[in-house]
Amino acid sequence: MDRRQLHPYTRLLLLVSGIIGTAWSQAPLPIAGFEMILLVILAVNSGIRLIVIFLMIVLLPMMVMLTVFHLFVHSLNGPVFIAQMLTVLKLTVYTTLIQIALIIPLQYVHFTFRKWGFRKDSLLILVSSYFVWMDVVKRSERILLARFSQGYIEKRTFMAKLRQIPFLLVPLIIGIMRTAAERSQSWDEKGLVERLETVRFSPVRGMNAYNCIIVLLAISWLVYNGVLLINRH
Amino acid sequence: MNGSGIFVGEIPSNYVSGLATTVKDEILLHDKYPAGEASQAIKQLLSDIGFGQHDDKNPFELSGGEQAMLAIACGLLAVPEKLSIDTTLEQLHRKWRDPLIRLFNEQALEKTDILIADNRVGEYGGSGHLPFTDHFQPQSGGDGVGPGFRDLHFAYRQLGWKPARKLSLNHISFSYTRNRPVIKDCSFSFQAGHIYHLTGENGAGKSTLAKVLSGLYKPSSGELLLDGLKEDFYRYPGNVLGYNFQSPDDQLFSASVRKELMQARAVKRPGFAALFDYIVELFGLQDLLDQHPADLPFTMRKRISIASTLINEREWYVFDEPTLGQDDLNTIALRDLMLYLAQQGKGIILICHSEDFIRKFDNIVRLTLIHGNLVI
Repeated sequence: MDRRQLHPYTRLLLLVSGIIGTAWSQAPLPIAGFEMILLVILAVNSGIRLIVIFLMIVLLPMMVMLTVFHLFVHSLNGPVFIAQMLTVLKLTVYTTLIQIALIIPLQYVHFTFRKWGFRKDSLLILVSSYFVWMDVVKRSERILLARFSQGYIEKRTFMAKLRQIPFLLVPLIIGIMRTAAERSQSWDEKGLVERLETVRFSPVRGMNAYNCIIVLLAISWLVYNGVLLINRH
Repeated sequence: MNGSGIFVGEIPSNYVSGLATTVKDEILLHDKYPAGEASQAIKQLLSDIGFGQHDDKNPFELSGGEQAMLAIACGLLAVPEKLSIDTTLEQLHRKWRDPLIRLFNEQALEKTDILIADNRVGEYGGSGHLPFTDHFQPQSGGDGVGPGFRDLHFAYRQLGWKPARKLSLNHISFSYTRNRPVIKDCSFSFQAGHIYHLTGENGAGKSTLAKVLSGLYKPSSGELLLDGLKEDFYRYPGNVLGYNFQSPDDQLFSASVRKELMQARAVKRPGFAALFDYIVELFGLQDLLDQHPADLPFTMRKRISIASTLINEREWYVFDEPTLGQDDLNTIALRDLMLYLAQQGKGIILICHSEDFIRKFDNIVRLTLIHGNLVI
């Protein structure tokens, strides 16, 4: 059992409290601080690599675009910039919250969605939507191997692999859809929709220090912003 | 009990639920009555054949035979009224297949009627495990593999026929994950003009070794030699050895049979049209050229995959379970084709669980993979 795993209720509480608390907040600095804490949680849950990717692909381009845009239009100290900065920060926090809530290790996907109250077809659709990625990865490898084995790619280089992407996409999508149709028929035959509701895969233990800290954080963030909101009015 | 039956088809990976991360969870998901007699009997069988060692593996990372076993076991664990097994048993080594077939006949599975659609069923019945079988002999309606092979040599010569060079493994090892080698320090020389039968239990690493030889996987250590000279098969995959995958669905990805065959590297060379026409006629594909391979039956897809391997002229060919789903007429034609290629100086490596098919060859060199070691 991984002690750093988030219990489904912890995930849900953090997501809901985080979104509401952030929506109520009007101060960039606390939001930035909250985002930093969220990034630490994301790093603990999913590894530092994901954080780096997130910073490089989402956060940094957003900041750069905003700054460049602003340099053309307004002065850096203007109130418009602050408002824009607030919006960007809030969007970033929402993105991070959604990532924390929905990046679930595959072995806990079933347990998490069942705890969130999903049943029958909706549970099956959610679980299978996570597992389809496994199929995508395996199938892409197979298509590439097939092309290599037939000698379509004379020399294995990075560029040669890159050139295969257009050839990969169509059979990949068609293959996944065909397999999905075949697999769903098999689920139906085996009664897996009902089985998925009752089977007990690996559970996540909720009552540990890590989960308690995050629950406290979520509640504190909500209460703090709630009090500020009441004071503002 | 489910009202309808369960079908387990030719591509076992399609019958893995795709909803579990480990084999243990996959079994748990299908195990409808864990305390039931059927469930106990199946789990005992899996334990007896040593399948328990795969409990923590991802079902998608199992070998083709292991996936076949898992798919059948899961089908049985769901306790349907009917279980149809189409060409899946052919993919099992007899050490797994025979106890499984014995289990079909036991009291524990009496609630499930089992239908086996399989061209090798006579082979299993011959060992006396299917005394209960109502054996249907379907009417022969299939097209055998077409004309003789004289023209294949001619067609290849137009492209510059290359006889095979000696292919040697020099202390080859391979592992998917660290410290768990599948192939261990194998050394062997494959001589041109011979047919080799690479055998071993399911999951022994036969297909993995074939993929290393084809340059699809990079060996963890060791080297591959051609006529004694080191050759980088991984950097130039599919140059020397053509690999016909066990599952045609791992090989056929074009939108039509024609496009699949036209993807050959030699497509722009002058003699290619003659080779194309010949291969199409040889495998009886004339009326199927504009069809999507996925819309065709498995047996036909398997034949198309062999055709697409052969249309790329290579020194060596690996055929991984070429008889899957093929009737007697086609298996004899396949044997003749392999013998012909070997006589003409090509090298053939055959991976096949059908002992009947192997017995059709007079001279075949048997190599067995046991715990990652190649035993002659």
